[in-house]
Formats: sequence, C-alpha cells, structure tokens
Amino acid sequence: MRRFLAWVSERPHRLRAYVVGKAAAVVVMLILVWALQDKDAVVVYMKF
Amino acid sequence: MSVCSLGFLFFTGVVTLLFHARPGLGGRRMVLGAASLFFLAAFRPDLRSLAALAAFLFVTHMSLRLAPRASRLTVVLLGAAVVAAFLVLRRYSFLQSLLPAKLLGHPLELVGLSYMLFRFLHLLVDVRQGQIGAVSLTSYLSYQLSFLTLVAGPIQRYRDFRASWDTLARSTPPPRDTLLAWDRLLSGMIKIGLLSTALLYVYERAAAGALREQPPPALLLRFMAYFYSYPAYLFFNFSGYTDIVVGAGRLLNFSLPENFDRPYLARNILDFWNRWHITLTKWIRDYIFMTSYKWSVDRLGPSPFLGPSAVFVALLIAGLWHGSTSNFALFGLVHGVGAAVNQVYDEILKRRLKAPARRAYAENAWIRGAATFATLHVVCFSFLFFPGDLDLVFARLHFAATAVARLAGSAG
Repeated sequence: MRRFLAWVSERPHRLRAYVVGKAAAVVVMLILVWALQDKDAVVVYMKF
Repeated sequence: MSVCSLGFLFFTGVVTLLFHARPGLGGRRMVLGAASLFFLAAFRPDLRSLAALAAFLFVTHMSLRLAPRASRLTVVLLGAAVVAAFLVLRRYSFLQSLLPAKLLGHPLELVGLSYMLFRFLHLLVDVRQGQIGAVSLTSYLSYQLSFLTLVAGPIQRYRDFRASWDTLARSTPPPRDTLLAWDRLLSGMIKIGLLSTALLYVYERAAAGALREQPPPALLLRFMAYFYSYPAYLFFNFSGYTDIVVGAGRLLNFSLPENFDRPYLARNILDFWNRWHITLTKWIRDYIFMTSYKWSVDRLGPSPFLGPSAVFVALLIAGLWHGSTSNFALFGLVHGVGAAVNQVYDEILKRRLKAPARRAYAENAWIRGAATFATLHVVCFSFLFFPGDLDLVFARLHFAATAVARLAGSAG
C-alpha cells in the first residue's frame, strides 16, 4: 500500500485523480451506510 | 456527529475552506474554536450535562492555576478529587458498594471525559513541576475541547498542542500535502465504514454461533471467527478514527501524534503497547509507571521485583481506564500479568546469556515468529473480555474447550 501511494504521488495529476476517485467511492459508501442503517436486513455497526 | 459520516466529511471541508480563507492567527483560532463548539453541540448534550462539563473544565482550570503555588499535598488532593469525580461521572461499577445508588444514577453524559482527565492530569503534573508555564483559560478550553481529539484522542501533550496552535497562521501546505491529508482521512473512513463494520458483523454472528450445540469442528470454526474478528474490528475502527483526525488535522496545519504502528506484529506485550494506542502508553509510562517505580525504589530500595510490579499496576490501570465494568479489569489483568512475565523473562535472559548471545536470540527468525504468534494470541484472548456479558464469554470458552476435548478424544 505504501509503495502504491508512493507511485501515485509521483505525479500531481495521478494523485489528484486517485484522491478524487477515492473520495467519490467513500461518498457512495457513506450514503449506503446511512441508507442501510435502520433497515432490519442489514445491520450497520459503527462506533465512531 | 460520527467522524465516519457524510456530515463530518462536509464539516471538515467547510472548516478547511474557512480556515484557509483567514490568513491571520486570531482568525484561524476563531475558526477552530467555533468548529470545536459546533462539533460538541452536534452530540446534542442536555443542559445538565453541559453544566457538568463547564463545571469540570472550570474546576480543573482553577486547579492548574493553583498548582504552581500550592503544597505538594494540596496538588495530590486536587488530582485525587478530580479522579474521584471522574469515577462517579463514569459510574464505575465497583463504586456501587461504596456510594448511594442515587449518586451513581445520575443522567449526565460527558463526551470525551476520559481523554479530558488524562490531558488535565498531564497538565497538573507538568505545571506543578514547572515544565509548563501558566495555561490561560482560552488555551485550556481550546486544548480540552479541540474537535480533533475530543472523542477518542490521540492524547496530545499540551506542548505539542501549543506548537501547532501558535503556528496556525503558517502558509497553506502545498497541493500534494493537502491531497495526501485527504487521502489519509478517506482511508480512515474506509477502515471504519467498510472493514470494521464487516468485521463486527462477523463477530456478532460468530459470538451467537459459538454458543449453539453443533459438531465440534463447526463450533471451533465459529469460535475462531469469534476469537479473531473482534481484535481485527477494534484495530480497523480505532486506527481508522486516528487516520481521520490526523488527516483532518493536517488540512488545518495541526499536527497530531500517531497512535498505531502495526500492533499485531508485536513480539511481546510491552512491544504491543508501544504499537497500540501509543499516546496512551506514553502517558501511562510517564505518569503512572515512572512515578510508581521511582516512589517504590526510593522507599524500598532497588529490587528485581519492582519493575514487573510497576508494569503490572500500570497496565491494570490502563485496562480499568477503558471502561467502568469488570470486563476492563480482566483485560487489564491479562495485560498486566503478560507484561510482568515479559519483564521477568527478559531479566532471566540477561542473567543467563551474554550480550552477543542475547542479540542472536533476539534476531532468530523462529523465536521472533513464535513470540509474535504467542503475543497475538494473548492479545486476542484479552480482547474477548472487552465487549458484552462475561458469563457468555466464559460459556463460549467452555464450549470451545469441550469441543477440543471431544475432538482429541475421538482422534485418540
């Protein structure tokens, strides 16, 4: 993972694309977590 | 507000924009102060809890102002009084036999109280010893209520906090550093939202499954899932939280200490605590272990038993700090005994082996592997006591032991 991050951060455009893509994935994940939170079928646990 | 939520992501973005829109130190401090108050308000504390928090902060700040001039006994009594108030506020179960039920039945819920206590005690000792000068009320409140460390640390020392607090006005970090800070924050959210959530789901199912009558191989598989999933969940959850606040801190020119360094690769229990919740370990080392060790050596003279005893007490207290029930006492007991055995073993090695042989022993790959394997399993065992009903934990252990015995019997 560290080696991958070092490779990604070698070029500014590569790093920007990586972080924007990751942010989009996290937003989708958080929307799913929020949407599924109170459904009986899926129990979502988060302490923090 | 959960730090792993869309709300916190949006909140961090807005605070970062406002922070960098203000070039001056005062303006940036105001932005961070307002952000911390907003973050605290997002927990929707009731008025009584807010009043209790205000009283806690006022009394502890007054204690800090008194500390440089007061006698040593007065400072000890002040510290003890605040610890006693903390125990009552957190409703420690052992107090039930000592105090009236009405006193412990209070409805007060103070966010981040355990961490505030550690920050206060650190300041009390260091201010008393003259290592830290006068602490103004605004600095103290900013230190105690910073949204970056309010809920679950890391336990940042006041001097490190001031180093960041006094240099907030430095220029905006280069885009590469900003992107890497966002990356750290997003990685933390993935750890909490995806990995730790999935692991806790596995744990809950395995914990229920390990109590059902079933063939021994199936039961042992469920027990193994139960045994390993909770420590993995805790790691991803807590280190994810640290990633989020360290990343958010970097976006705001704020440097926070690291709290984890591959803890499950530790070679022994002491090594584990140097890699797990590192800021807590350093606190315990400086303010409990060193103090109790020095106190004992001064009164009893040097003895090979003092080191292991002081380590045992320090880790038992570390366990008890995590929570108010006997679960955490057992957790601390396992770690205290493990670390004491560790120290005794080191002492035996020192006496039996000369330095080159000891180095060869420490560098032997098989010994390293065996030590890491054993430490991992002692740590996983200790985490069994962390959540839930202790009777159920012992029942699962009994079921697993019976299954092993049945398997061994059928194989024999």
